[in-house]
Amino acid sequence: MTRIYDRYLRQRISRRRLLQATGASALGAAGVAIAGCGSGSPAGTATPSSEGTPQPGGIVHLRQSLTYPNFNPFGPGISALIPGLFVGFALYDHLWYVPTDTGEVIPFLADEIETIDAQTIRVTMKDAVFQDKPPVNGRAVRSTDLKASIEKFKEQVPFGFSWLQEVLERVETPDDRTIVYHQNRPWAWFFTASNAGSPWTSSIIPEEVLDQQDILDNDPIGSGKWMLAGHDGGTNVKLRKFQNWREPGLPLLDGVDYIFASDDTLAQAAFSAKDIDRITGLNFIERDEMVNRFGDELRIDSDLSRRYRTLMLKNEPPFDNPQVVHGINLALDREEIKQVLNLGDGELCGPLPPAHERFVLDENDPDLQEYFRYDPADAKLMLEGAAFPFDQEFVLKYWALDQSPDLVQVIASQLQEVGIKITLPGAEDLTAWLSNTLGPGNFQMTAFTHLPYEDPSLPLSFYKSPNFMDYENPDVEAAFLAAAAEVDEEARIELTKEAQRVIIRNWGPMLNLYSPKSFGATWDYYKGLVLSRGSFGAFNSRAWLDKS
Amino acid sequence: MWRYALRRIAFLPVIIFVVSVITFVLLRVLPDQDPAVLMAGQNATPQQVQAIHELLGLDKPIVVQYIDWMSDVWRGDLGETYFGRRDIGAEVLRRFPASAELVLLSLIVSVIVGVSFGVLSAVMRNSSLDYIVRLSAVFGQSIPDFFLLILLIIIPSIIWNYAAPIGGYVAPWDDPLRNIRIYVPPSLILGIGGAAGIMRLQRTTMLEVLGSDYVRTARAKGLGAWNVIIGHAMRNTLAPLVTVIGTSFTVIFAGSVIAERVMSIDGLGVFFLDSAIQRDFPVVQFLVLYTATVVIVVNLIVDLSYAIIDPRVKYR
Repeated sequence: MTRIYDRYLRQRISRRRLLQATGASALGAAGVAIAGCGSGSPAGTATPSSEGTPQPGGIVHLRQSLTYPNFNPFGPGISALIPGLFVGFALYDHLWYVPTDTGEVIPFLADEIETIDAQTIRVTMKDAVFQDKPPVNGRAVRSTDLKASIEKFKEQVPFGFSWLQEVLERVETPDDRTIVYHQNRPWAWFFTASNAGSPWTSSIIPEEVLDQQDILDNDPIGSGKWMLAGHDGGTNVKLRKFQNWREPGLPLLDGVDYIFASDDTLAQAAFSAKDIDRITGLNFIERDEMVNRFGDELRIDSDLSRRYRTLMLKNEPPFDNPQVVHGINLALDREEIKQVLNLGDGELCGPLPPAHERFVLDENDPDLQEYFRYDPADAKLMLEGAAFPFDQEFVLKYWALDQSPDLVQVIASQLQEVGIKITLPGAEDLTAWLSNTLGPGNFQMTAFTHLPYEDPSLPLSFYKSPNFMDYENPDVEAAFLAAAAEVDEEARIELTKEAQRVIIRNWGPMLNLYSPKSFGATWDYYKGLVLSRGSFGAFNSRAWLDKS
Repeated sequence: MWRYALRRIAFLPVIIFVVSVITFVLLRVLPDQDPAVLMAGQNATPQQVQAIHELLGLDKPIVVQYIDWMSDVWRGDLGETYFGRRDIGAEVLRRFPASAELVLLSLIVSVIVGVSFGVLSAVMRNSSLDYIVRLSAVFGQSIPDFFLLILLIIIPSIIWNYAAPIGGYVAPWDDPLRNIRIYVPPSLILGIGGAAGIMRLQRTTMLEVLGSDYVRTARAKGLGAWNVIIGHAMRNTLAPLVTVIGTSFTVIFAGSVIAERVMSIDGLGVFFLDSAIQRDFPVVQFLVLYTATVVIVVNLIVDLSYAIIDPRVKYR
């Protein structure tokens, strides 16, 4: 047993590594099931030699934790998010992807990318074909498919896609393999925004099926590496290799079988029985237990999620007073919250989650230190100085899952310590909370966990008007737009850091708390995985099974 | 008896009508229950929400909506789910075997365990076995099913790295072993939970019967102990037993929703739960109707069985 612990301890990961470790497994509710879809090195990246010679063939078994109501990436509204993410990862192709650790643009279907000017980007596509199902029948992918897909997504997406809705002016297709994006202003986040921070709205769908709901719902046709082979009413989805994929010989696996396990305990038992080949979302106690039981048979990885927990305040009295927001921030003991919810595993989170490592403020930055400072006595003084109405009750809303009930309990207790009266109503269902509470800004206070955004601008865009909090601040807005307009990356990193400082100094009414960390376990025969690069590993085609 | 049965059957549509109306109205009058708002998303305009209302027929007067729905159900058209636009009839048919097998196996476990240990406990009154059975009955009734289910997942996993197979329903005739492996844990837990009540009742009733004159007479005539118990005493315990089995069925039926969720069995219980959370009205309405019908029919069967069990019972 000592040997196993020694081995485990040797592979412990440095803080820097952890900061890089973003959630291949953590694309929110949908992504938990999706991300395993092909974790491994991206097309074109060699599998580490220590893992042996990759062998083609075999079916990998992964956990599916949610039922997909259908496979249609289009509306109405937010209802398309979960199926849209799944098919975006699994079935449809994309022009490129930008791993969160490097910010490097990795071409997928794109062959050449040419920035004509700050507002115009021309892309030439590689040769690729769609899957051989009617009415598409295996025809070549054309630029008009991409144009039609983008235009349909632009009509349909409900919220938060400011590049699609505000910046992208039009798309031209001079020929079958060329597409030209015209923006109405320079947008330095183009390559991540055109993936919308996730591969939902960048999916390339054959134009002739875009209005065929039955096909989109039940038998989607893409040009990605997998084909949908079957499912039981949206569960136990089976994917099989698309033999004519644009990368000959890939993917190495013959397919992916998702095994529906909504319960974590059941999923861990299924993993222990080797009914599924990889599991994510373990806490350190569960991780240690797995290591104790299986030792060398397992590989353990850690994941500092891009998700982050937050307390959002409506920008109306008394929370429209920056001194009040500052006082509330001082009353929040982030370390305690992290301890209660994640057994202490995680990193404190400023305006940007720490997983966006290159863009976050240095931990010694004075503004960030003030953001993380916990001082209830000072908090009380500051609130009294701002004439905070201590006799008033404030309602803190939340939704039912993802530890939100625990989160609001701790926040309420910490705020009550400085005299703020908090009422906790009943938990809402996620979709009800999105539609009735967050969306219309129908709250005084609400606490929740953000999705794992891959684009660093998305977390900052919450402070940009319009937003859920009705918060408007010209300095914050200007700082955000200055970063978005700066095409030089080093300069943009500095401007993004400056935008975070401006948000902190103005005490924008969304107080981020921490990003949780979790662990993944993979059986040693499942090789070639790429982890910790955002959702990039989900596009991997070189994962393989070594069961020889 | 047949007249009684027909009268009860004639009431069935009335009860179903009342249940369906209550469900239909409640789903629509409770606050924050508008599925169109959920489907439209957080920044939908009122026009978009209205368009979804029109698409789903929710803009019509509630009476018209009810009549439309009921007439569709009457014709066998259960409609489509709001979320995902799946055919509800096909989904119900696909999921029915998984749920039916779970409930049936649980009921069988519950009757076999409950009756046999109830009888043994009564016959061996104040013995160690009697105390163990009574104690188990108290545990069985007081510990929540989902907790026992989770223990039944964790313990074999830790000791033998064993897990019940997941990944979809397999019919017993297709793969009997896999089918048994899927259904043994939830059936055991639900069945033993249901057995507790049966065990206690069976013990009490059997004790009462064993003290009666006709049992003493049978013994005096020299009949063997088990002959007396099975051949003479048992029959007189059946009437209350059938009643409690009927109640156990309802409890197991309800408990199967949680068992399906914990064990990831893709049955009607999970369908109901997910649909209720998503305000998928047509699914919830139909499944409430289905559940009500099943419970009423089971109660009718229980009532009618009294006449078979005890010839003295006459229905008018």
